Amino acid sequence: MKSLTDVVSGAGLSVYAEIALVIFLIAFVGIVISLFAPGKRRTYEHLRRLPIDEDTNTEPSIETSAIPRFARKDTHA
Amino acid sequence: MTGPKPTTTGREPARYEPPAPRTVAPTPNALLDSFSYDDDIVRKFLIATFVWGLVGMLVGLVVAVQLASPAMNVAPWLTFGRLRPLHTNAVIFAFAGNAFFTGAYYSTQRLLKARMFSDGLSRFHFWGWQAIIVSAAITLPLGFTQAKEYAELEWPIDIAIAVVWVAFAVNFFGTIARRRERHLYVAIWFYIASIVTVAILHIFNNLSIPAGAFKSYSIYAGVQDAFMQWWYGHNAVAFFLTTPFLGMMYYFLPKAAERPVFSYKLSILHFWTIVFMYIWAGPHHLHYTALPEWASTLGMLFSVMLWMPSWGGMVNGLLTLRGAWHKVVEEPVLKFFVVAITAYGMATFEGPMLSIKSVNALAHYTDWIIAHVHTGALGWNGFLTFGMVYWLLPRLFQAPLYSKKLAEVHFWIATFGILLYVVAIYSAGVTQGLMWRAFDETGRLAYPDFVETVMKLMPMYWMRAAGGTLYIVGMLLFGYNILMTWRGRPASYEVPLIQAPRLTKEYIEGNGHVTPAPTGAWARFIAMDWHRAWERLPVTFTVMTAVAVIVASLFEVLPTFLIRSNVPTIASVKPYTPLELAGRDVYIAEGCFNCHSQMIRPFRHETERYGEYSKPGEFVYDHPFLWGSRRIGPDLAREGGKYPNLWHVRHMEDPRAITQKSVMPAYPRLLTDRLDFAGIQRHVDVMAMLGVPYGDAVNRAPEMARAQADSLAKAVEGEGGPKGLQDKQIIALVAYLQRLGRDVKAAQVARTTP
Repeated sequence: MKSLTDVVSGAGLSVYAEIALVIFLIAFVGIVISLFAPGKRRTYEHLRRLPIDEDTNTEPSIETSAIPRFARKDTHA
Repeated sequence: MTGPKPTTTGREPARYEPPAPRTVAPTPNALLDSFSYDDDIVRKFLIATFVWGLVGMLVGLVVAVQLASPAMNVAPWLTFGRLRPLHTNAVIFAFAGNAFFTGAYYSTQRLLKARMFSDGLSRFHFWGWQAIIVSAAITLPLGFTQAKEYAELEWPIDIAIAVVWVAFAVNFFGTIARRRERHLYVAIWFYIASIVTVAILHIFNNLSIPAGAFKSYSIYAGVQDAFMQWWYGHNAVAFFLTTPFLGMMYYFLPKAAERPVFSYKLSILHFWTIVFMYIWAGPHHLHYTALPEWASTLGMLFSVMLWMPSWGGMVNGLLTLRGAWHKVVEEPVLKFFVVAITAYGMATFEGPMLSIKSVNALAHYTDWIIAHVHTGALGWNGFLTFGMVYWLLPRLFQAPLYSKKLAEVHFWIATFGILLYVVAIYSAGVTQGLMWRAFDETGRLAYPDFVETVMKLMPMYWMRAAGGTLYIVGMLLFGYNILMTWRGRPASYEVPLIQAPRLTKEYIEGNGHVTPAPTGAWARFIAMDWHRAWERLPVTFTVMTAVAVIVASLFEVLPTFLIRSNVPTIASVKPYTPLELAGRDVYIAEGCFNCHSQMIRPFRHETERYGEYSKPGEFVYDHPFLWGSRRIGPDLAREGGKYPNLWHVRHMEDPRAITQKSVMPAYPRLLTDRLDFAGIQRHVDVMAMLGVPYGDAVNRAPEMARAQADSLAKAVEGEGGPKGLQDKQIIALVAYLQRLGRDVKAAQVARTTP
């Protein structure tokens, strides 16, 4: 136990904390970039409506996809 | 089904209409499955949510009153030190836990268009979790505790928690694997992150060596144990009280508002930012303690950054109600949601603020932290649960909600209760924090007598109890509404048959034709192909999430564990003697750490009051660490030698005989209950196994303990104290208290004398 601590302590692992931080940052930036990349609108719109449309459809249909982004089903207001 | 129904107008229907079975026109090449949702399990969890919520809050009221009136500590198993962990465990794991399971079991089946993977596992999860809660409610008052906040439960229960949690995970991921909806809605992601992370946190923080059926010692010591505990503690808040409830918010808020979430992209951003950042934020619980500086700065930085995604989520929630605010006026469900989301916003602004070191210097160890968690627990978790349950009641019990008006009353009473509670406790926290650090014009402490700073809080403590009572009155109305709605249920529940096509192997875009795969690695990356691939492979997705959490945690935690220079050892610090160790176990069993810290921060007002500030090297034999998080009584890190032995005996017997205004419970039992000398050997052996250099004591711990007890009992007698204490628990406790902080004092004397 003691020797293991000595070995790892001598290995200078603390630098890996910074490396891990950088890796995480890169992964995060990657996710953000791809999140805002164009061409995902239909999927997002389908996902967005999933809880309230769950009783009516499964795969995105042409119908729901065609609804403009801010159009509402319930326009009684 | 009962004939045709009028179309809904968006307003509350006059009476409950069960949904008609929906069918979907089969897409080409798709097989249509018929199935039903398991709502019985949701009903079970819903009832458990209410029952345990009421119990947890009532225990909360008891401990609140005990602080204002020590006479309320009526029995040894009902003292503040034993009931406070019961309160926190009950509201977190029993109330919020069952609420999470209620929401998750309802929404997951619908979002994935699949019944839960296994009805048997669902029931095992339900009954297993309730059995764990019952065992917690029995063992905590009996004094079985690991002394780590929100991880007090002893090792056999910890194993049971792990087993039940794994059953839940298998059931959940099995459902994902069998889903009929290609895409995973963001709520499911939040649930996945919660399930995976809670498992990791639970396992790593509870690693310990058993020293009896309900006794164990943490494998970590001192600074490392503290680091591990608050990595766990903070992430328990994040992944047990925040992410599951965010998942529920993203499902039930759109449902209740009949509007999709304001921005789906923002919800994904919210998810990833929270998952990436929370895991690093834990050390902000240990500012100015013996934790290395870099770790607490890292914790502070990530905590402050967390403000942004949290408010992104809050704004996303509130903007979902755009154009639906008129519904909020008439719909108690939405009222509860609006206050819940606002409370989330307040708590997640305050959290980053409290993590800033200079603010933390004032707030740490005071009631400010208690106020902060209650904004979160009563406002965010409580109100989101209430809103969700009121929305679920007519759907689950297939009868109209008994009384919307009563729900309105519940909302207003509970809101007023929260306000009363937090205003009182905020002012209590700031008042006490300022009194602790106040100096008079001669440069001495303005309030050297600790109890003065406690007396000042009494009016606030009574106000807090009043606020809590109001909240519980609301809870009773809630229960009455649940009961009466349940009584209006049909003779047998209708189980709608759902039909949906099975998922096909090839991915078909919404417009019906297969999109050509983008060429080139960058284009594919941008197109988020990899992300869709992950989503289609839930196991891979889970493994990746788990790896991300583990790697981040390891890189945060590892350096303290492995780099010697982070915890400099002090030569004069020696292990506790067998008798002192037994005394420490009494200290743990009575929950003394709930009110007394053992960590003096490097501030002048603290060193004036308590003595030399604490060093990391002092705690290398502390399995577990006992730094505490709240000072209802004074710090004890340098208690050893401050008072005569007899003072401690009298003080434990009746604190008010020594300090007239003390709010500490009396422990006369310790003067009569025998100490189990034979049992000390096993405890010493486990400590030795953990690397504590016990030397000779591993063979003859009981004799050594008896010898020390005899001489200490003689000393007490010599001071004019009672006879015959040598085999009583009080002797061990006094031995421990008189040892605290002595090693470093000894070192200083040695350094200055030559």
